[in-house]
Amino acid sequence: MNSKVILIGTLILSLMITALVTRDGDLALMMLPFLAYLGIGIYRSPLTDRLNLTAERSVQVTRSNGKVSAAMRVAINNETAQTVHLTIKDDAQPETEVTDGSLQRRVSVRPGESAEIRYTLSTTRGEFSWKSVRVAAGDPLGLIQTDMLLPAAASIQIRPAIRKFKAISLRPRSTLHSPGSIPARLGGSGTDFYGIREYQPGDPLRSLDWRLTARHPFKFFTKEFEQEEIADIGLILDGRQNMEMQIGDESLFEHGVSTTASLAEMFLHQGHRISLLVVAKRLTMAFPGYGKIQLNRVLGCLSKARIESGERVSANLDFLPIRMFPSHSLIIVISPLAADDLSFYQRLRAYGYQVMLISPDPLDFLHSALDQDINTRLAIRTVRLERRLLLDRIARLRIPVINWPVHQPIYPLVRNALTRSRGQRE
Amino acid sequence: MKKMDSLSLTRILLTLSLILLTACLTIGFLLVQLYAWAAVSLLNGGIWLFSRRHAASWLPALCLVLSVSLAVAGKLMGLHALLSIGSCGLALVVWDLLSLDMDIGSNQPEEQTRAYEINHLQSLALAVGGAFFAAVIGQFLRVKIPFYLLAACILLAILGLDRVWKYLAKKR
Repeated sequence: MNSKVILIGTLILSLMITALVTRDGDLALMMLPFLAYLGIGIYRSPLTDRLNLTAERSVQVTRSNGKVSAAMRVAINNETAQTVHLTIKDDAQPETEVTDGSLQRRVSVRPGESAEIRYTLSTTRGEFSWKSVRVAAGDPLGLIQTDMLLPAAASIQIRPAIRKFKAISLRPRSTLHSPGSIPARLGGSGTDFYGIREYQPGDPLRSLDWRLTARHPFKFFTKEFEQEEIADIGLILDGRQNMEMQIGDESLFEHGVSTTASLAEMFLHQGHRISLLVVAKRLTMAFPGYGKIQLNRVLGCLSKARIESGERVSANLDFLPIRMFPSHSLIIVISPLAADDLSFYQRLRAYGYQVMLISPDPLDFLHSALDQDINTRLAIRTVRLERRLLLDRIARLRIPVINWPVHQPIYPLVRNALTRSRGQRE
Repeated sequence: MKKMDSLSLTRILLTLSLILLTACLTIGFLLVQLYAWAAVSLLNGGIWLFSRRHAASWLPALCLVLSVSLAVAGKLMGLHALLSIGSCGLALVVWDLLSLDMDIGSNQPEEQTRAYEINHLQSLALAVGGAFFAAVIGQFLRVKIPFYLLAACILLAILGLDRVWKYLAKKR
């Protein structure tokens, strides 16, 4: 029973009691409009067992200027033999904004016809799914209504925007023994000359160094080429609550997400093996893998990544399951850094990982939003010094550190850092 | 253009009903020389106007109760019966049209929305017109019913409510 019926019922009852108390027939006649109103509502409400409605949903995603919009269409088909009066209402999805159209509509639908609601959602990233649509069938006055949930499923995954990076020639400390693009400092079947050794039975004849062999009678020499292999790369994206900063629509975390997606795409395109760990609302992982399928997995994880809410154990990086990354792999951590994070980097190095830190600079990000009075400037200076000290202490662990002002392009910084750390050995 | 005209029909009827409601109550009170009550009726019209901007709140329901209370008070203080009954009917119309305007105001003016609006207005006209017609006939055909018989009928109607409820439940 909805609020309209309750109000009309209460008015009828009040008028009836007043008429009885005052013994005034005219007061009883004043009930008539309300009684007729209620009566017509009851009379014109449809029988539930005769209702035969079906729903279909379609969604089309378009991306322009970094903004993603999804055009939603929900159609309700009336397969009943009579006209039905419907209120169609679709559920709003969290973290989306309806930019065009409406989520609710009242319509009268003739037999065999269908009614639609159309609206456009705007969002930046995420995974959204719909299972059903709410439909209330009732009388035209909206008094007696039957609520129904009609199945109309659809789901969309809006992935983070990827900036295409040119390939960076990595020189990791260890490589995976699969053909790739990184010179592995091992003799084998490659293209670059690596060295000469004495012939071993089984060596292909075409690799014999005939000139050297001619100078040494009764001895054969074989040319060796440098093997080219792939790297094992792990990405860790930090989405702890205290790391998130937001100015208007711009979020520091979103910069991290976008960079992680771009790096993953670049490395996978080069043929490397990638794994991902997102420390956010949920601890999301993509175990090591190659190629487009892995890129789909990584982007799927990133599209679902949300900033962690509330204090949790994962607020401390020391409890992360870093052993999911293969030993000796190159780990790139994308984190704005917290004061007590040093031990995490020490642990990573202790396990033998080669590590690189990309730290989106929160001070640079917040600069435009902060006051420019002397106290604030002093506070910024202090925090900047603390951050500089922490970054230096991490760099002393032989970890290349990128202090990234997020409004600058990340690609040259990553390229320089990876080139500088080429051949880094302990 | 035709669609737009049809959609604004609700608003035209709403404005007309509001003017008529305020006029009915004010003129009725003025005729029996209750000037303070006439002023209250004008104020009631003002509150109705204000509630148009807050149609989703409880304000329209409050205005309906206030208008019906004014009509009842007027009837008890000597207002003409048809004016009181008319005021009740018009208050119901204004309240209902406010709700309709809120529901379909944001919709695109498409054929199905227009059909819903027309169906709604037809049902409302039937209810209020029929009731007013019955009330007018009731004014001319005075039937004297003993009080105990009337009370028994009302008791029967109240006891029969559970039947109505079961009927509704079956329908739903």
